[in-house]
Amino acid sequence: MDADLMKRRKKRTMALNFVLFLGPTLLLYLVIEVIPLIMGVVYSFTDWDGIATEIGFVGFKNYIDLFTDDPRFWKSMLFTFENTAVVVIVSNLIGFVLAYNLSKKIPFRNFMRAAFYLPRLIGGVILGFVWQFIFLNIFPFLGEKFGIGVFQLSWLGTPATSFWALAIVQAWGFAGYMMIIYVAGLTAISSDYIEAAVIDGATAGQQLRHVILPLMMPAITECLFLSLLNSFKVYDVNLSLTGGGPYRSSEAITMNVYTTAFAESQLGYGSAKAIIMALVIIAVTLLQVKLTSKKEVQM
Amino acid sequence: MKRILALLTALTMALSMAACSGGGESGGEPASEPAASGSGTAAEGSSDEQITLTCFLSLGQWADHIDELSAAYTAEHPNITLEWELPSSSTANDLLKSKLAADEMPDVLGVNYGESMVQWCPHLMPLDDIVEDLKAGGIPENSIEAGYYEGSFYHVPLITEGYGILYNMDYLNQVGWETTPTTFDELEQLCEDLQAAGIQPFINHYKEDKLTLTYHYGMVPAMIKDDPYGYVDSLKAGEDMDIVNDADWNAMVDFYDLTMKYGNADALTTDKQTARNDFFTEKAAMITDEGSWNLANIRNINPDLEDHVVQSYVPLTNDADRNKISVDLISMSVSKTTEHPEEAKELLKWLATSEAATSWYMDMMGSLPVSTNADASAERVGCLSAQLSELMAEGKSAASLQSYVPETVRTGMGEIWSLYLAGEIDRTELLTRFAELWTDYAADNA
Repeated sequence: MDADLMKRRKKRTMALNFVLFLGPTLLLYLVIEVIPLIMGVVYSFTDWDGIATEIGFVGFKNYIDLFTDDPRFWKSMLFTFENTAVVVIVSNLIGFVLAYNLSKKIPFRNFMRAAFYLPRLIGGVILGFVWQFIFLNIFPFLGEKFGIGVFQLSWLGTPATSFWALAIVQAWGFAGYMMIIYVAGLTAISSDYIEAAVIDGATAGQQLRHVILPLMMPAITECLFLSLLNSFKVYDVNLSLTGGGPYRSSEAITMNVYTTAFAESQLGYGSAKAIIMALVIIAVTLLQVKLTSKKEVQM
Repeated sequence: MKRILALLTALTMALSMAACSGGGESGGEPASEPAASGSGTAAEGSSDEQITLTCFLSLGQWADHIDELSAAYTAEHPNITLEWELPSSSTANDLLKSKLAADEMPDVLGVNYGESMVQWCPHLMPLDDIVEDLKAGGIPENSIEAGYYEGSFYHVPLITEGYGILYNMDYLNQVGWETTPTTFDELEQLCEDLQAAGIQPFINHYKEDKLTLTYHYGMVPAMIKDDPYGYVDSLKAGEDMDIVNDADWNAMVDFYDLTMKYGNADALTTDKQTARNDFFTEKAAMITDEGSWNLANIRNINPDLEDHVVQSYVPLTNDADRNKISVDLISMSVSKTTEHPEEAKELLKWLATSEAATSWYMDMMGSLPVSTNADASAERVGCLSAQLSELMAEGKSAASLQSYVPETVRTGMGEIWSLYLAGEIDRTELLTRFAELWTDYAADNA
């Protein structure tokens, strides 16, 4: 009887603690994430323009239109996929190479780590404007002065070059961030394994391939996830660097959603696009995490 | 003891959150007796309560000098402070929507005529009770009439802006031109003359696909039609207007071709600031899509230019009588949700008709006030607005149709013109796709 009472009291204390510690966070999560998400889903079934005082329900019309009659949206989707592929590969490669070299004992190691991380601190909009200046003013200047072909291109003027311009700036911004995570992953590897490999006569390449990379898989999973997610959701650099131009050819999916919802006053339709975008991003990132975490090894 | 402490902590947290979330609504107590301060004469000292009126207008060029306008108002109305937000016109509408969603509508705001009004009308306050005051303040009948929507008055017009082409007359004189061209053939001849003399004819900022290619130049051919509003209505109704073979639309394409041929090669990546700076520092003889708002900038960058810069229309056709300069009325309205309706109306009356406000437009901004009571002499408004005023008096102006274009058509317009200018599509495809924008709109809104 007494034990039962104690048990119940303990349960109550636990419940109180639960509310106390998780309550504020859950409340914020509810207000900032869950409710807007539900509102977005509801809006996606309406023809609301974002201004009118009356809202009309249109059922699945927005979704049907999206899948049957909106090549512009799917063009943006394709652009985002291509852009993401380039950014993820390039930023992770650079990030890993930087981390690998900066984990060796070389002079000014910390200074260089900080320097490579710096772009991350600047923020997308500023980054975009700085690079816009570089592409529009400094590149042509260099091109004229030294006659180097790459610099004479109209970097933000054609669809192909603005695709690469956007990818370069994003990859440059991410690489330092990836580097930091890879550095953490590298330092977590016990030197015992490396020493064992050295004693077994492994070359540097073999060490990297058979010892370091498998042990780095958790960091790789995380980096791929972060870079995928961030480049799928890119908006700031896109807006300030190319603004979707020329002629909407470098319009990532987020900008397409924004244009529909706000510039064209089709908030309902824009919400439908946003929901589809979210589902696609969730699907791709889940797939990636599943695939790469399979390769993780436990020692 | 521990539990009491924990409960107290929780209570504090809950309270602090409640305080945060409540902040938005309780900002500023409602005006105790709004009627007291607004009726009759100026609101001077009628209430000791400090009121802040938020003002939203898409005129970025006002930003540098707006404090002086606000100070002038506060000097006459000591209990009122003005807080201005002056975004660029290409982003203003988006910004306003987010303000509406956040329940932070400004007290007084600039909403465009036409399509914007259809959308925004439910959020604006009818201002019929100040119409007589505005008329007494010198606002002409036709400008008042333009401000009506569905029988109620909403738009208080402040200034008139015109835009077309700016000319550097020094360069024109050098190649023997005393006046600006009035027809397309003359413009072409001028370009040849300038080119031959080693002067760059045009500087273009076609990176501004929203501003230039859409808002400003997007409807010039429709604007010079005999019945422009009827023409837009036909387009919106999806009627076949045979745009591909229409002489005026083809003339617009010719005009773009000409400016590209005789302009900067990087026009599609040149923004308006860069282009303006190049024109102000006299690197080219003409700049497309600029107008009377530039005087303050010219005075900042190259004051010498002021005595030889001339503003005129786009000489689109070879019939000089048909070519006209685009004119926009810049107006402001009152939000339906404002807590200070009387103060807001008082402010709009002041902005439209007062000596202090119209002087500020003329002396500081070089803009043309709508009120005819203002002494809009060339010495006061500066050269550009004086030229605009002259063109208007000669009947060489037409109301711009930009605000009558539906938004879905707008986003398409900038894109197809950019595609054309980049050489991605030809003239026939451009005009076909332009016509399709309207028929698609008509189909969606049938």
